[in-house]
Formats: sequence, C-alpha cells, structure tokens
Amino acid sequence: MLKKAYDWIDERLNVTPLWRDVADHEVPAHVNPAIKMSAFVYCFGGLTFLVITTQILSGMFLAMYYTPDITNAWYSVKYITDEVLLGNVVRGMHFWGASLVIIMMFLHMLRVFFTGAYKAPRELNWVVGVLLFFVVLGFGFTGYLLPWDQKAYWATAVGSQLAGTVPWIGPYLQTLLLGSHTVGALTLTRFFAIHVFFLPAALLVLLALHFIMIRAQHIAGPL
Amino acid sequence: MSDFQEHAPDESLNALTRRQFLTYVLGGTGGFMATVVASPLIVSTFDPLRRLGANAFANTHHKVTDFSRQLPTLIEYTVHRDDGWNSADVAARTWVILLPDGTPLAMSPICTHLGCQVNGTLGPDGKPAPSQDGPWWFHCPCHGSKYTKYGINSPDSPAPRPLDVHKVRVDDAGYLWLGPLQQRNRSGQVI
Amino acid sequence: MAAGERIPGTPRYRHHLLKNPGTEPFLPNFLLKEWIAGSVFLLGFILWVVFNPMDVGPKANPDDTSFIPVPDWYFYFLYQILKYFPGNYEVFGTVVLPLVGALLLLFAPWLDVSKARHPYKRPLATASMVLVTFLCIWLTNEAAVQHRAEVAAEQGGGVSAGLPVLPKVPASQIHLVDTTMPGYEIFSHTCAGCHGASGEGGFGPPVYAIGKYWNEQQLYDFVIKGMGQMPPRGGLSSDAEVRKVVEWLAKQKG
Repeated sequence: MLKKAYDWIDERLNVTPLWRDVADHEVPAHVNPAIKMSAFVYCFGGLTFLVITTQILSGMFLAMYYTPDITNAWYSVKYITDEVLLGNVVRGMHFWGASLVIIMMFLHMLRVFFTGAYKAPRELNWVVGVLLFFVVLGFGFTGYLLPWDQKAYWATAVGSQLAGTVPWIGPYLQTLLLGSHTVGALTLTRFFAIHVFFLPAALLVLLALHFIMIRAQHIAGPL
Repeated sequence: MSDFQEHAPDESLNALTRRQFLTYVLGGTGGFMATVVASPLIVSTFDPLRRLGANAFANTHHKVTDFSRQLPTLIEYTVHRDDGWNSADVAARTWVILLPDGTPLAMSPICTHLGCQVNGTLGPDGKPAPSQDGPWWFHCPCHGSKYTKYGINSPDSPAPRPLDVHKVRVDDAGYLWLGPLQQRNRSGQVI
Repeated sequence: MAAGERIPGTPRYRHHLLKNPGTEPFLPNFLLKEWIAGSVFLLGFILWVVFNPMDVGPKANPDDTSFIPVPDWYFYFLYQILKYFPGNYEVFGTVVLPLVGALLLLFAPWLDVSKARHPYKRPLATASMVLVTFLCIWLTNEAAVQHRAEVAAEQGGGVSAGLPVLPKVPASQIHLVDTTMPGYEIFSHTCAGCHGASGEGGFGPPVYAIGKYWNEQQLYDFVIKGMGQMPPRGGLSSDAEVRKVVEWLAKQKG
C-alpha cells in the first residue's frame, strides 16, 4: 500500500534520485567511528543538528503556553514550569538544549579547524558555519530575556549597553535593538519576534546551505 | 536485489536481507529518538484535559429557602475562573425557581436560539411578576423566543430547546451552589 | 522501505572486497551507527533534563538595582573581556575586539591558505586556535568565579546578618587616606562622634577599613537606612552629604 503510494508519486515527480543521492553515497572510513574509534569527533556536527532539531521542537511546544508580554511573560513561564503536565521537562529541554547547542557547535568547529577541513574548496561552507554560530549566539541572547525574570532583565539591560558603545551610531543601535530607550514591553516583543521568526528563518536557510554544500563537495578526505 | 539472490537465493526468499534488517533497525532507532524527544512535548499539550475547571461549583451565597416556587428570581454571583496563569472572579447571572418538590432549578439567561439574554417578566417595582402572556414568562428581545417560568421553550418560537440549567448542589448550611450547565430536551429532562 | 530491491549486492562491510576499502553506504549502514550514537546522546540529555528540574527566578523588577547582572554562561568570555577595558577604552572590549575576533573566524580560510591540513603542519593556525580556546575557557571560568564572589559579597553584606566587623585597633595605628576629600570633612565633625575621629570606633563600631568590605553603593544603602542606634542617614542633613561621606569611606581599605 505504502509502496503503491510511493510509486504513484515517483512516476509523476521522479523523487527517487533526490534521496538516492543522499542515501547511497559512500561514507569514507576515516569518519566512521565503527572502524576507528577516534573518528567520533566527526559526530559533533550531526549531534549539533540533532540538538537544534530538539530545540526547534521544544520551542514550538513552549510557544503554546508562553506569552511575550511584560505583565504575563513571567507568569506564563511559571505556569509552564510549575503547572503544565511535564512542562518542566519541556522547558528544561529548551534551556539545557541551548547550552548543549553551543557546546556541540564549538566542538564541531574545533574539529573542522584542526582537521583543516575549511580549506579550499570548502571555504564557503566554513563561512556559512561561522554565520550559523553567530545566529545561534543570537538565539541565546534573545531567548535569555523571554522568561522576564531578574536574571533575564538585567542581563539584557547590560547586554544592550554594549550596542550603545558602538562609535557614532551606538545610541541609535541600542534603541533599535531594544525597540525603546530602556528594556521594556517593546524589547520583549522584539526579542520574541527575533527569537521565533527571524532567527529560525536564517537558521534554516543557512543549515540548508551547509548541508547542500557538504553533499556537493563531500566530506574532506583523511589527513 | 539481483546479485544477492544469485549468491544466496534461499536466504532472500525466506528471511530478511541484511539490508532490510538494517533498515528496520534504523527505523526502530529513529522511532526511539523521536519518542524520547516528542513524548514530553506531546504530553504537555494534553495538559488542558486534566484541568476540570468547568466542573467546579460556585457558591451563590443565597439560601435555597430564599427562592420561591411561584416565580423565578434573578441572582448574581461570582464564579472563580482559572484561565491559564490568570485567575479572576467573574460575575454571572442566573434565574432560580423552586420546583414543586422544593428542589432548585437554576436557569441560564442565555437564549438557546442565538445567545441573547432573555428577560423575565418584571412588575413596575422591578420584582418578578406573574406573566401577562399565558404560560410564557421569559421573552427573548432578539427574535421573540418564549419560555415558561421553568424555562421550557414555546414550540412556535425559534428557540430549539429549553433554557440550559446548572447542576445544583445545596451545602449543609442551606446555600445553593451552581455547577456546569446542562442541556434539556423539550420535556424538560436533562439530556 | 523497498530499499533492498534497488541496490544490488549486500551492503555488508567487507574491507578486502571493496573498491574503496572502509567505505559504507550512508543508508542504512552509516546512518544506523549515527542514530545509535544519537539515541544514547538524547537519552543522556533527557535524563539530565529530568533530574535537573527548572525553577523560576523572581520576576523582573527594573527598580531593584541591587541585582548583579550576568549573562548566560556562553557569553561570559565576552562579558569578562569588558572588565579589562575600563573607561574610555571600553569600546575596545565591546566593539573592536569582538568584531576583530568574528572577522578572523569568518575569514579563517583566507588567512590560513597553505595546502597542508594536518594541524602539526600549520603550527601558527593550530597554536592560535588552541590559544583562543584556552583563553575562552579561562575567561569563562574567571567570570564565573568573580560572579560567585560578587554574589557572596552581596549576601554577606546584607544589612541584617553579615555586617562586616572590623577588629578594634588603637587610633594611632590607623592611616586614613584621601583626607582632603569633602567626605572626610563631614565625617570628622558628625560621624566621628560615635565612630571615632579615625574611625577606630567608640559608641559605634570601627569603620576605618570599611571600604575593604563594602563598595560605595552598599555603604550608601546602609547609611541611608540606618541601623540600631544609628539614625537614618547617620544623622546627616541630606542624601548628598551621605553620598560624599561614603565616597570617602569606600576608599578606606585599611
């Protein structure tokens, strides 16, 4: 039955070559931990992607209960944490996952750097990777404010001062970042929008580029 | 599958090929990962099902003995409503009459036709008064639906069913508590 | 999945038979191994999450300036750098250094252009990255340690419990500094009545080295409220006077 449905689609759209290319490519021995244990360092990228996937999922579910508004945000987070069935786990996944993404991404970057995998012809993929790193830091910065607790408020109050120190345009930049002259209601809505709409869009585009380039250029050979 | 069959035809006919086996294990592993991640997430969305706020009873602070068997009385009371992290005391209104056997009947003032507030028949002093319209005591200002003082709808008015009634409870001190609304059929039986 | 019918031959890994020894198909062989690793990783992650339940801190309060701000740990390295660029050099810590770092990272492929890939064959690149990594770890740790100390000091300086207690010493052994400041002038003919002309103590406790324990703000908050026999503002006529006195007091570090 499933096979029939698949064949029906395949006849019309010829989808087989699309996934065949991914499915059948030969994975070289030097990245396979089953052959050489030390190749586990090549898993960091995949694990980063795995954690990012759980972040996207847990974020989607958190958004069902969260509200980005200064009078309600903290109460909604408290509600998630203390009241919602397994809400503590859902929030915990997103909270700890955020740190885990950073760690795994940093390890992945070190692996790529020390194996010289960013060298020609793979320069562009390194650049995309570094941009992904910045996007993830952006997620961290904007996401930290959302619970609207003391930690969040003061970290953002200080963090946004940094933008204010940029020569000439600093004050304008800071106001744009905060959506206001101080951290407040507009900051929260702004950070929320950046955290759940703008950055995910950038993340998905960059991730797609990252993976397409890996397929097109293959993984770098053994050292 | 051709090469493999040439070498080991028996195996391929009766048993899984190695590739199939690996694919199944792969599916199982993927399923495991999906379960680990998705189960807490999905469980959390079912949280509203265990909140039975709609079944809670609210104290009207009126004694059952305050009501009459002749005519309904409009009472105002507050319902405590938990809405997520918001909780509020919401004002609510209901018409209460005692049935001939003395049990209270609390009728919602919401017309079952399109949801307007029905009016009872009131005298010049603002107190409930006997009907001027035969058995019809409640009148809906919107489309003219008519109900008896027990909330039974007139068959020739638009209302499809009698006024909804609250589940009622009387505590030891004689106070009337109102619960969730229930629908009734034409003969006034709770469905 | 009908995959078995589409690929001829067994995908079994037979080192000696293969054209490219050691390679194996991505699906299902390699992906299975990746996913097994992923399963173990995820299971560990979920267990960690379950056994480290979240709590909610106090709600944001813009009026409570006593809260010590700190970013999430992965920004500690940036946060710590700022401490090394005070005053007019601030912009180096906030803009220049992070920007240069980001650009170096972004354009690494064009900075390290040798064909060699082995880390030992490009010592400069490897050494720089090792250095940066250790620097980041050190800065992160340093920020964490300092933040913990600040929080501890804050709690220790709480008005009720951990009041700093200075040992009683004779006035002759006390060397006050910055006695030309207006704060000292005010101190000497008001506070000195109880705390001693050199802050050696008397009716009130010694204060000669109070700056070692409390900063200006903590001193200010304490004096404004007063405590026990000490009236609010320490009996001074205005907040501005208190400000001047604590400005001087904060410099007395013993």
